[in-house]
Amino acid sequence: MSFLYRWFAGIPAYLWSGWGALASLFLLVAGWEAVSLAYGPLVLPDPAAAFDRLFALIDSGAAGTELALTARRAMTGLALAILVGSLLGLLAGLSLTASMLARPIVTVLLGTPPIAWLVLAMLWFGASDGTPIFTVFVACLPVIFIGALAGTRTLDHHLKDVATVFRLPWRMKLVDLYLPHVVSYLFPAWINALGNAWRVVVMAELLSSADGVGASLAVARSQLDMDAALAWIAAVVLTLLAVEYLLLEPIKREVERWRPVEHV
Amino acid sequence: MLRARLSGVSGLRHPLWMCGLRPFFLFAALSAVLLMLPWLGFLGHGLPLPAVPGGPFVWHGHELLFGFALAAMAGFLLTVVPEFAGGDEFTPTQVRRLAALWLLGRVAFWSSGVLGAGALAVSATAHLALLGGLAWLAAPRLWRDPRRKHLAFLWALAGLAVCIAGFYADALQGGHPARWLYAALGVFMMLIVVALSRVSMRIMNHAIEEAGIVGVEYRARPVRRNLAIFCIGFFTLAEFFLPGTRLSGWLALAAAAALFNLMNDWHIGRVLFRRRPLMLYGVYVFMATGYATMGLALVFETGAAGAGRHLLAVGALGLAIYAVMSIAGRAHCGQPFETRLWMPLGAALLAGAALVRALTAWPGADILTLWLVAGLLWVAAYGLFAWHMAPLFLAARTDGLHGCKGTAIP
Amino acid sequence: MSELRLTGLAHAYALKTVLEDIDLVLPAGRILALVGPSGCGKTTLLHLAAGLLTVQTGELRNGFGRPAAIFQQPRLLPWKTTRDNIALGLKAAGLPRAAYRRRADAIGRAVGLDGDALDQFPHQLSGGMQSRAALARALVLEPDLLLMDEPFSALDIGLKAQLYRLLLDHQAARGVAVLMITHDLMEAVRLADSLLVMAPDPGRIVHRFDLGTPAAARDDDFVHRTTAEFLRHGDVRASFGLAPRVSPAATACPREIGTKVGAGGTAQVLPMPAGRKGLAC
Repeated sequence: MSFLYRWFAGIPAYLWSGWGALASLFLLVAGWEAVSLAYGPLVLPDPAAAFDRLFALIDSGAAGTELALTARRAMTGLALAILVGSLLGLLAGLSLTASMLARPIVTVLLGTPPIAWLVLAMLWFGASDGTPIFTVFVACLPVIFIGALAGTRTLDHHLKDVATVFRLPWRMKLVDLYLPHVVSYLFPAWINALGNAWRVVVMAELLSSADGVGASLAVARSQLDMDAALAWIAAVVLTLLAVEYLLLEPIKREVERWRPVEHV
Repeated sequence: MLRARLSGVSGLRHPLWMCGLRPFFLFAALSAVLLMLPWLGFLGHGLPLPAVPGGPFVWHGHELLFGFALAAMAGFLLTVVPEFAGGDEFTPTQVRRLAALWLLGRVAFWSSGVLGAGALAVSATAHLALLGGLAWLAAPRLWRDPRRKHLAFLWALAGLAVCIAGFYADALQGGHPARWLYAALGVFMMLIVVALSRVSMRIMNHAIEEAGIVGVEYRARPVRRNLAIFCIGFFTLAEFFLPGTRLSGWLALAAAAALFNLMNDWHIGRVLFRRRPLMLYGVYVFMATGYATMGLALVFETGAAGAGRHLLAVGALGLAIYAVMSIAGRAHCGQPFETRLWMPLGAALLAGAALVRALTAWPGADILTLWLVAGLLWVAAYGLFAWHMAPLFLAARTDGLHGCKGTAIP
Repeated sequence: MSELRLTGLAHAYALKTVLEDIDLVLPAGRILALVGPSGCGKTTLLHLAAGLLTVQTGELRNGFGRPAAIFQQPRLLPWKTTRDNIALGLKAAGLPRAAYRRRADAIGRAVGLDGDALDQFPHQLSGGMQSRAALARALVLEPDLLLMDEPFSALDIGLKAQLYRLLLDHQAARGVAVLMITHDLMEAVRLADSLLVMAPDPGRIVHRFDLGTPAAARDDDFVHRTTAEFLRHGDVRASFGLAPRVSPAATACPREIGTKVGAGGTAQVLPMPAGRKGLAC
């Protein structure tokens, strides 16, 4: 109850704090407008043109359909990566040998550019949904794996001693000690991976799919339609912003209420 | 009665010169009324205004910014600089010289249509000398402060000096000097944000104490304030160099968002609904909505920019000056905080004036009537202020103290 | 009568022997202080007693049923409110939520944490408040054995005095046995019934002192005087790496103490290893 009360009571303050973000976004749009003013609409259409096109796309329903499709692919890949990466990372963290073994492999995975995976995926999966999903999965996996690994490896043995001395049963150890700690590492990794997934899926679609936001971008490019390209980019970015600030950030705040705050 | 108060006003011993805010707040209050009445006469009945370069609208803007608002700012600085940065209070002689410059500026500008360039040059000199005199008095003290945390006031003075110099340069060359007035309004907005951050700490925390609220503290943190000042400054520059563009519109929206963001500092509970906090908070509400209106007008290319500008000038600037003059004016004349009803009533009248003036942007609105109503509300608000406060500025202190010493209450 | 009994206890980390031939008995209701320089195996000894390390050599018999510990740092769970941190042991013991929160509140008040502090997270509390919470977390269990590892070492003297009082009051009321580690001789003299002086390389007990005056009756003057006398003692000086005194009083025992029990069996003044300085060992 107190949790729900706090949650709802905090919503106005949280939303109001969004003005700061809005101010910097308006500054960004102003910068965009300035470049467009300086170099002309052929190089960069002004924001109004792009937003007009975006509203037209939303009105016609095209934006919704393509975004939903892209989101489904990104989320599928991300979900797989979260599942596999978290599990493997936690297990690897439990054993010093396994984490030693895993580090170089993760470095290799991290160092391989997503575009390289995309080439392999196109050979394996062709033009099917498998290509973007696999690329997203591989791009997100190491980030999550490292988060999970760090989560288990950094668990303070001082706190484990506390758990032993105060005779915490295993269920309490799990719920009150291990889980909060690991989640504090996993959650940021997941959010990180979400941004990654969203970027990578558009790239994968651009090169391999016939539909989705990436494919629409490819069409805009082939037709030299700058307005449409910017409209799609705006759609992708705004969706990510909305998910990040309206969904994930509030959850993060609630989950990490115990952390010393650094935000302003 | 009035005559008794004014007798001996030319002497240095007269209470009017005891503290910098006394003559200048008096000038501000009287000019708020006396500058608006002829303007309304001009709007409503076509009564002539003093002919000045740029025409009646420039006269209106120049006088309210460089007459009314500048007087209030001078009174404020002359009082708070010794208080913030330490040192003796400024002497009656110094105060009188600055007051004379202000009066000279009025006379010279008003007569510039008749007397020509010579009067304009005198007016320019008087205004710049007033700013220069203020800087001369304030700069050494603000600079000596080890943390130099009040230097922003000097930057504001410099910004206003640039605007005034530019205005008169344009006017002397026969150009249209209105753009400098817009820029000056931007400088005043930044100055308000700076000044209110200093004033609000005391007002808010005193109000919290007064209301018996525990566990809450108001802190005007620089983070959000600096973003707001940055955005306002950016917009002011963009509007100056690229007037009427979408670019300046986006920047106005950024300024509005940054000001709404600044209000986060104020959302600390019910103390906000007390009289003085609400007045100061209202200043930010008007400033934010003013910039938002201007931004939307510029981005969507509607004609509401003037309405937005007057939300800033009447709502933000008018209300800020009213609030600061009525709070600081009493405190530094040795009086407790005003509890009578005229004070919030005046603030409400000003808020009404700003809203009515903004309504002129409403499609199909009867613009002339709204202008006149807004003007009359303004006159009523500052008339109330002058009626209640002017005697205070002309009388000796009743608490036996001399000079500007504030009462314990802010 | 329950007691904690260590017989011939020794412990080694890899190749380094940190404890050797430790014998001690802590009966119910007594306060025993282990004093010695940093690194002389005090913490290892306490961890063995707390069951955080497995006994390698020797025997450790713990007859107490409800042990609790206070560590050098407060070691509060950062994601739990102060109240829930205090209630940790009670929750682990299976008490219903309402009951353990009520008891946590009561003990929290007793150690000087108000409702606001109890609702806050550890990072929002000052260091002193965190130490109070750690003390409360142990006391709320009404332990019969309390293990303390320099819990007050980072606190200012005013706060220390307050917490000593809290601890002694609780000890007097409940008769808890306390095994405390400290390198602060004054603290030991103020609180303990008996002091065991440890020496490093390898860690062993070199001397035992029993203080006659009950802890509640000791004033500042007593503490200062007795501490000064301790510091004249050869074993104590040697243990802390201080140069031996050459005055005749150097080897005499403090007046009140009288008995000198060679607890570890090695009570002679030890020669200092060459070049060793300060307290590090």
